[in-house]
Amino acid sequence: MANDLRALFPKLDAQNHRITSQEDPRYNCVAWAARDSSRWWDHLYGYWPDGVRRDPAIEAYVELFQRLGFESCNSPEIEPGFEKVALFGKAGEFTHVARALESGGWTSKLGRLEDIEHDSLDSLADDADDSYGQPLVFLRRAQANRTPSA
Amino acid sequence: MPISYGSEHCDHRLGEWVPPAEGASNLARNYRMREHTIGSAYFLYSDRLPGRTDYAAETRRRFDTYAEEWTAQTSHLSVLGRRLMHPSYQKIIGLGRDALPLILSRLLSRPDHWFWALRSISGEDPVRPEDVGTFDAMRDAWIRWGRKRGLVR
Repeated sequence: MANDLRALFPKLDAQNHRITSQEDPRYNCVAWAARDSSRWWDHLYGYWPDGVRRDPAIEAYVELFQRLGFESCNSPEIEPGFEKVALFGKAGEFTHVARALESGGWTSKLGRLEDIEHDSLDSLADDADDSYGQPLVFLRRAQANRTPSA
Repeated sequence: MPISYGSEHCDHRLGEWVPPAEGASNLARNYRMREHTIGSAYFLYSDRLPGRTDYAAETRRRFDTYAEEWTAQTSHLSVLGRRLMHPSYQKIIGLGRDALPLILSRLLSRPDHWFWALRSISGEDPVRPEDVGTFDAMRDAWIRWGRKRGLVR
């Protein structure tokens, strides 16, 4: 599986990531970032909170995370007392979200594949077809304000 | 190919779905009398006429190819729209009702998001709205649907 991931994400190598789960079609990156591993969150045909517009645009997913108590911030850098997520996009559409770890790295669920911890956002960034594009939006939530996923 | 025996012709073709209302089981009985075995009330085929075995095998071959392509090229994607619009997934939908048993078997053996294809092909949706996004509930609903119709064990 590790070799398969490196074929999909050319910037991953043996040093900059580690696999932290098995493949699982039950949840995706959005669910994982929202700390919910029981559902697939998706605007088209998945779990979607009431009142959030169903739209592939990255703004719709920003709205989704705002509903969970996140607010925009300027950088992915660690800030004490806050948890952060980074939204990836291409051509204006959402593609992926990673959640920051207190250690300074990131954790991502790769579609229906494994969870991984990775050192940087750049290790998943790519502009090839069917890639995640680039990290475009950073959001933070005070750890004391963490609301349960809906 | 049109089914024919001697000078008589059947309006239906091999591989065509024949609903019960059109007398598919009578059709099967009549043709059986002529030593052709024509299959279930829903799927018209013959063991004796050329093409039936080839057709089923060809459908399976195509399905397996498209399914492997889709899995290999989209499993890392979280946004379902990107996965469902992949050409290989669309080709599977294009196989039509012949693909339903294959999809349902695959749903059991290699769980993945086949629900959109099942909806598109069947025109039905046994998943409760509150279960959309909960994979196990969606899978179970479709497997129950398929078992009722003899499409999967």
